[in-house]
Amino acid sequence: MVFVQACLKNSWLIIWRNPVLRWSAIVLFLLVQLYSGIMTFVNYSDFLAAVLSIQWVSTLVLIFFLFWGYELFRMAATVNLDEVFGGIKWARLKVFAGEFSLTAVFLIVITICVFLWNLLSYLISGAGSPAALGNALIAGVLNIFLPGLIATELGFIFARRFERLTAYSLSILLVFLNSPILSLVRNALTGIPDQIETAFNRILDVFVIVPQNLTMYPNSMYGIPIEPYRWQLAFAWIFFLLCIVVLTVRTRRNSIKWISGICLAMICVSLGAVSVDHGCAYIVDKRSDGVIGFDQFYAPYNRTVEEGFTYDFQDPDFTVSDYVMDLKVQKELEASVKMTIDREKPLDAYTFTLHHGIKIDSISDGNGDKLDYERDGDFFTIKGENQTLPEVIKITYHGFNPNLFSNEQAICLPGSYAYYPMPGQRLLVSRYDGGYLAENMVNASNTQFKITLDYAGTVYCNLPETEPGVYEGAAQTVTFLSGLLDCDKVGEVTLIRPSLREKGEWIADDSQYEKISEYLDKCNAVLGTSGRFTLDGKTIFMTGSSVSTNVETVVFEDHIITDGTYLSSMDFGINSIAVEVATADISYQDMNHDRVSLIKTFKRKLARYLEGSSDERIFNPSVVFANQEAYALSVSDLMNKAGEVYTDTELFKKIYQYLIQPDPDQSARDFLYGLLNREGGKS
Amino acid sequence: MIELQNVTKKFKKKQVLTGINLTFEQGVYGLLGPNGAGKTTLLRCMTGIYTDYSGRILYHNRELNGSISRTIGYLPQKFDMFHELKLEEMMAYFAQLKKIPKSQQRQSIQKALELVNLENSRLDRVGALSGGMIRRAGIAQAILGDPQIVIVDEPTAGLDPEERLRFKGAIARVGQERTVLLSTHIIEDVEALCDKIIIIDQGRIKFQGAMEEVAALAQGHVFIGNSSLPLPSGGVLVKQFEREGKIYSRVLALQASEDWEEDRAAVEDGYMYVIKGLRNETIST
Repeated sequence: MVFVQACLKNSWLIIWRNPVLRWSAIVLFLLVQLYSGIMTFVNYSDFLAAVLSIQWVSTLVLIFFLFWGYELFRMAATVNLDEVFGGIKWARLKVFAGEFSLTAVFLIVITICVFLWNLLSYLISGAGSPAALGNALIAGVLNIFLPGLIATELGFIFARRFERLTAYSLSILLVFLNSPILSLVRNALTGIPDQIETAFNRILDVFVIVPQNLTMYPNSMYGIPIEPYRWQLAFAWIFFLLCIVVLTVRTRRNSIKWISGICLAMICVSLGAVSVDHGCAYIVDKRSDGVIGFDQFYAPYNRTVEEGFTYDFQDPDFTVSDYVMDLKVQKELEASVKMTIDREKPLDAYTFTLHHGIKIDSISDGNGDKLDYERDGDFFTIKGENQTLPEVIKITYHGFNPNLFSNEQAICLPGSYAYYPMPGQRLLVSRYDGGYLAENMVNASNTQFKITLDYAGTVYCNLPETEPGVYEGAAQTVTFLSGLLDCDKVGEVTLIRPSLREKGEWIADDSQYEKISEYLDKCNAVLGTSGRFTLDGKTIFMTGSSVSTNVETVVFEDHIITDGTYLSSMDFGINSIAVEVATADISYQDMNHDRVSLIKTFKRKLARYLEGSSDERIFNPSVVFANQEAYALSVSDLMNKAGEVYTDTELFKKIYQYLIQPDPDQSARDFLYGLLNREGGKS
Repeated sequence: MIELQNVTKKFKKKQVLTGINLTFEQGVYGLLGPNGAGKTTLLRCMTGIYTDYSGRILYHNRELNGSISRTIGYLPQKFDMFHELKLEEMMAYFAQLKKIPKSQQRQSIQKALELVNLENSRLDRVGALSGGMIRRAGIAQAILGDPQIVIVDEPTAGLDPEERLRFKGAIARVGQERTVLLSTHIIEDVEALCDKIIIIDQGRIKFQGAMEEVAALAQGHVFIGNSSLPLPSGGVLVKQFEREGKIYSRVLALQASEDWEEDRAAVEDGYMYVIKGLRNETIST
């Protein structure tokens, strides 16, 4: 202890008395405080935004400690003390230990200061989520402390090996590789073949030790990204640099030196190897295997009906009566699913929908014999000959949806997204009027589920947890959420929501519950569905506003999934929920453009109607029907025109009846023309 | 006693030291040799800076493993200190590195600074000290912890005459109770301070013995003559000097013509006699 104190004291004297080292450290400290303070107060109402913006300090820390570390560790050589130290047993090590320890202390001070600013932001914003605060602390260690430590190690090695020009050049190169400029380089690669792009990105990733995803706002469920691969990479660097230090030590005990060096090298290689596998990581450059928050880069999702969908829609000619699933979420979702097929007659093929981000490992029957299958985007078809397909199918797979991703920080597996095989060939996402719409992918009837989920965090599920980690019951589908979430009970409704307070207020009190119930009653009255749909007994899962489920709200018998923007103090959000609940039996299955347009317009106008729109009539017949042959009228235009013929409530009822019992021989457009007593009409 | 047994050192493919066998008892030793002879390399092996040599280095029959902090004090050729610290703080730093108990540090530092006549400068910043003072401070740090052996490499290089004088005084005082090995190419320093001399050239020991023996080697082979005279056959010019307005040459030769006057051999002559190969024997084989 005396020795440690002596080393630190001496190192402190050396640093403090040297004007360059002293003033540069003071400047860094002040810059960090100034920047953190500004970001804290600019983002006074948004804790996550404040924490995210402050992470940029990591770049400053990296730059500073690279150059500062070099100058510090070079001092002994600069003043020709290196040889004297070499002549004193362990002197070089002691000097290094003292200087390195003091640098680490300075780094810890910087990290703590950043965390204190985060704490201030937490208190000012009323974030209300201790778990999020913990996430911020961990992020500070990963994004500020560890990169600073690595930079210091590099500074030491550069000081031992290189003259100033070479050391500074290498440092500038490393800073470049860790700067936002690198994202521009990566994005320029998007046109090259995937394999080359992936390999190139993997090589660059090795040098990236500061967070690269600071330009994208993270979802409140996940908090600041702190994926395992980043920790593995950071420690791989630390051990790698330690290995270099050890191997360059001059000693007669070469065997000890080499054994130590090899052990360190092995640790480094093993950590580095696993760090290459990002899993499901919040990497927001445009690489093809990254999580980018949107599914929009998947080409088939970008084709409209007019451009010709590549998928044919197929209703399943079988159902799955029973799912037994083993799910594991670490770096990504890994699953083993056993399905019991219920069919009226033997079949040659089973077609399922499973998100294209999920890679199938194997498909077999109940005896373990492999089955042939073909994978095509979001679908796969198991083929058999002579109608010999078994009734029990087992499939193993792994992967993630780049929008709804699950990793060690959070789970987002909404039941409306095909993270497990769903019968039939359905469109998961379609492009509609410039937006994206997710299908309601569930079976109409309940299916038996037994799911074992291996995950370290607290998990929320619509099924009851019958044993630790086992969720069992009958449902239309199964939704899992985990992360920075809270569970509230409001009346008869269970609300799973992000614990971080975002904009607006949450439906966490009775007045909000009463309001939504009031809207629901009104909606039911308009549609003639009184008593059929309620919130009572349902669980509302809210995924957080910045990760869109691609659907505003999906309603199942036992739970609702929404992305959270609709549960705010804004009336529009609340009445939209009411509309979705009341129209839960409207299916998107026959996913053509006009039908989708009709559904969305219908719901929007119904929500406005509940709101008590200031318009005298919701359906405003303002469109001139001058020449039906010459003009292409939108569905919305047609609905408005129909408002000339019917009252608002009459029209809502008629459209609703059509939507829940569509006539396969009558398109949505034809139906509307029929309301106008017009036949045909151009689309 | 320190003993080197067949010490050999290579840098990549270049042999720098070959079969060095030396023994040091108490006293002041001078290690003489031309530039590139291997002096500094030898010293670095003895202080443990270089560890990848073959052979053995023994201190009181115990092998030196790595560097020994308190048995050997070392002042390298290039030496400086952190200019921002005070002399006393720097000495305390060295004392801590040498693991001198804290209770003894103050006394040890005081004693060392007194020995080199720097006790009045202990509160001065190192940056305010002259070059000679810094070199003497180097001696002070070398004797911290009371090592029995002090190794000094080129101690007076770059010092003015007054500083050299002071420095030599410090060495003399240090050498009264310790074994001192002084590596230098300045023969006057060796003559002034050393009891014994070791001559090294091209990595080999050419001579080891008392100062008088070195001079005696060249006795009968030292000649002085007018600088205009051609050198005797096989002769080596030791130096040229002025006397009474004329330039004379001092040469080493096995024999010379009558134009040349024989002179009494000095250490310098013996050194040149060895280095230039006029003496065919070598100490180490």
